[in-house]
Amino acid sequence: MAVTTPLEIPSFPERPSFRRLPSMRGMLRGLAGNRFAMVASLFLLLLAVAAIFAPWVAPHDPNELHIIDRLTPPAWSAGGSTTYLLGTDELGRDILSRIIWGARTSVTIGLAVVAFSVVLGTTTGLLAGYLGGWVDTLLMRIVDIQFSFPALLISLAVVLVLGASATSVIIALCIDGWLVYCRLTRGMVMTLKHTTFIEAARVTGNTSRRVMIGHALPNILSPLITLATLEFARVVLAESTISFLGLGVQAPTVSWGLMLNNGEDYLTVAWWLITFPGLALTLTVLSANVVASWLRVVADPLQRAGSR
Amino acid sequence: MNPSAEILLSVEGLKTYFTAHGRHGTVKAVDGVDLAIARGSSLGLVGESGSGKSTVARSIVRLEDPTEGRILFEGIDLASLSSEAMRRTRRRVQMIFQDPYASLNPRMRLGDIVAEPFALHEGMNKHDAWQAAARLLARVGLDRDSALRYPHEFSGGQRQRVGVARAVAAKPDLIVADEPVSALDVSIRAQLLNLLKDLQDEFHLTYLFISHDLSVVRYVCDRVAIMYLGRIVEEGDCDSIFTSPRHPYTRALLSAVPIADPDLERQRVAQLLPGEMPSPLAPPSGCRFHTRCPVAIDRCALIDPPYVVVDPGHRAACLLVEDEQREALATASTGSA
Amino acid sequence: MTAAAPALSPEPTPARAAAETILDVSGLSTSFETRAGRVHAVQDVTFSVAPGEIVGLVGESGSGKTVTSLSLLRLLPATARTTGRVVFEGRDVMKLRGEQLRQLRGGRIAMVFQDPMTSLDPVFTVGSQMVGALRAHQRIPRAEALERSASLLEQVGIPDVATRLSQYPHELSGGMRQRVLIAMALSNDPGLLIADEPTTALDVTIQAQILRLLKDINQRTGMAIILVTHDLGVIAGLCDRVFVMYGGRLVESAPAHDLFHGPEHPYTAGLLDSVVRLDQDRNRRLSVIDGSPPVLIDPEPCCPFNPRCPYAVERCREAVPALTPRAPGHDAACFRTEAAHEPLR
Repeated sequence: MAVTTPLEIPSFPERPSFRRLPSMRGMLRGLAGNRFAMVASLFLLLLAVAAIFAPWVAPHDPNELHIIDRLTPPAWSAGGSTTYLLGTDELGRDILSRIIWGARTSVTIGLAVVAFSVVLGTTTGLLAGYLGGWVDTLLMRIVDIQFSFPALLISLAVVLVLGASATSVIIALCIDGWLVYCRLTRGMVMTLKHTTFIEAARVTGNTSRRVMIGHALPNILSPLITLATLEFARVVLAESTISFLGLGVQAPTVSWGLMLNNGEDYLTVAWWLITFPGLALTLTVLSANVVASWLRVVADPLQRAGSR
Repeated sequence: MNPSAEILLSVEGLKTYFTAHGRHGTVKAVDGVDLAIARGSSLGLVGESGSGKSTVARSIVRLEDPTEGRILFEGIDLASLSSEAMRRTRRRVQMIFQDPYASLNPRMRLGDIVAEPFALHEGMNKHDAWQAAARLLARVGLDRDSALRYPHEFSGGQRQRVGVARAVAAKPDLIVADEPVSALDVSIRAQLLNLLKDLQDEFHLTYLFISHDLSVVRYVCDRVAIMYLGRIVEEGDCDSIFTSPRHPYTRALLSAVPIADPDLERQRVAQLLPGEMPSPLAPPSGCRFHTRCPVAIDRCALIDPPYVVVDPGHRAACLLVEDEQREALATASTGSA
Repeated sequence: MTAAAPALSPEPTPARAAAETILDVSGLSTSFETRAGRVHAVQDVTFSVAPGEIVGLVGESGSGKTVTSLSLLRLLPATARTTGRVVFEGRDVMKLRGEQLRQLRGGRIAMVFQDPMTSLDPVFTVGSQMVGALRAHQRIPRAEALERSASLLEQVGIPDVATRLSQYPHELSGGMRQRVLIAMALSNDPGLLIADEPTTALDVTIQAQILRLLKDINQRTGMAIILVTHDLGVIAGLCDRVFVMYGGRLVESAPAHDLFHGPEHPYTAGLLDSVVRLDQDRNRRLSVIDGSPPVLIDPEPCCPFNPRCPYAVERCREAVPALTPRAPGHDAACFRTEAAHEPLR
């Protein structure tokens, strides 16, 4: 601080505008210590890059046919070629490019569903948990009823009604997707409601809305983020399942599920058609789970650092 | 109590009951409490666990809803306000909480915690509220950069200072302090108590000071009310109560407080009360204290004792005290015989 | 790093017969490995307890008093490292192996903790827990153990014993639970009871009952008690001798009267001055010890109270003062009061 003359009233250090930064730095440091989580995060980062920059990253157009080169094995096998690093499918389309474009589909659908579900689920959970009473009863009945319908069947029903497309997959998965966030948020808010600092927030004179959003919400973000990561994996898997069944994304959009569907018939003669999309799917789900577990561990010490 | 002093808070017939979950019955946590606090003074509310003192505090700030009774604050009955109306009144009635480790939002910087009342009640913009908060944090004894940091970086005593700063920020008229030093170390307690006294003078505050610790109340407060099982059993200014307690419970309580002097301790005979405080689910008939009272007579189980004015501003609810008073008046009226 | 003079035991006479002390602690040090570094919770603590004596171990949070009491029975987690000697009835507890240690705990040395709410197992009845405590040390049939439990509960003043034995902990009040814990502690005829803040969580009238109970037991059975607490009033009412801890070290040890009326350590004096007393002048402003207790990671080789001490001199920053005798039975670790004998209060 600068030296002040006796007549000047010294001012105090200004408030930094970014709240989140300190906790992020701590988290990144924690990441460096856990090799599994680091690798998993890097994979997810790779996925994101592939999804965003697909047109520039993919060596070929995923729907371009190279009939002459159909069923080329991966580059390192006999008969393979570096033009098609992971080989080609039955129509001569480059597997690697299709995987990269498939990543775009998965990530887009995954993020869209998760974003919607988080917003709806958290809002309803906050309202139900904090306000209680008839709001809580009503919302929870809706959640209970929806939970009792098998998720996949609902998704399939929606898709059949709206016709198969990426949009209808998103809608189908959103219908059920928000429920878990609602339950989680509600549970945490109900516990938080009785903590002293929330009571203090009420006594200070905050409206219920400000207490919920300004005071309660920041304390439940960590478990929510963990859940969202796990849910992302689940949604990606669900989309693949629906597309595998032929009821989801349709050509010319590329999806790993569709690739699995295609490759099924050629399993014995061209293993690479099904293996690589399957591997991509597995690695995505695995990475998301590893990162989610790590997030859960990392979130606690940040809170525990505050306790005695 | 000075009769011309302005009464800031007047509680009349306060009852706060809870339904006991699981078992049937009502927990009569507060069962008929009257008290009054003059502006600028401090009233201590003392009792053991189950006495209802915390519930009185929480009822006044409407963290619990009173079942019956009036809470008159500058003419407004807080008990009857809607939650929105109460929220608008909050600026003037603030609270300091007991547990310094639970009363601050772990995700908020100290500056934000203390800036909030400035922003909410004085309409300051973010920058000014922050500077005002930083200034107040320095006033309560924290470092100049503490506004930037989070609660977990501070000790219990320091966190409690933040709680005090938050309560004082909007310049309330009344502060309800719920056991503000009970969770602190002995040497830190002294620091906080001195701070509370200083702030009271500086900001013209009025305190309702809840505590189980009689020594602390005696140091901070002008008047004290002793609670047992939902009722006030004795009330008066600190000098009277501590030098001549009249109610048997007050006497037992005072004799049980350990004093940091082995010679005194050796001389004292602690009046041990048998058993424990009965449950507020089923208070005893008549005088609530009769089941443990060392001087209870038959009538005590039948009659709920009314308040007896022992001296101006000093009242006690005890049949034996009533008898003593009557005798004293009779002796006085028959002249010097 | 300690000062040149070796630490002396509280009694100035060099040779002590074994029967004069039931517990002899010398050079006890305990440290923990934590993420932030090595915490030296207890540093070089030396004291002894005579049979039938009630001693108080007083200090605030972070003083090391609780870790000291846990170290005596080696009740600390694996991350703790304890060195020094703890000789109880002639045997060094630090050298005992598994079975011998187990027999000692709850046997000749019993312990009662602060929070009666969590010290009892909620899923077992009081009776079964007491029987368990008895049969862990004595080979007696269940029926006999149950009878003895009933008699123990009576000794600690619990009414309606038969009902209590079949009740679960949550059905009892705090004071009642603490009595049960004391009864369990007594069940195997201990020579020493370590009570860590036994009444802190209790109401003041219940506290008075429990303290009276402890005093009665001490007078009846001659069981020694180490009472660990921050409450100077409780110490004044119960203890024969007092040990004051600060910053992990023992800074003063004296008979109760001498400590309260003529403290030789500035921390003790400051603590006594800052206590709110029922009998003090209401208008006297509480004197305060500025600052906060030290963090015990990588402690400096100086007096732990130095940063807050109003009497500190140059030497206080350079070396750790050792306990030196000031009067019979009265030791203090302070360079300043060692030299000049100006009363601190």
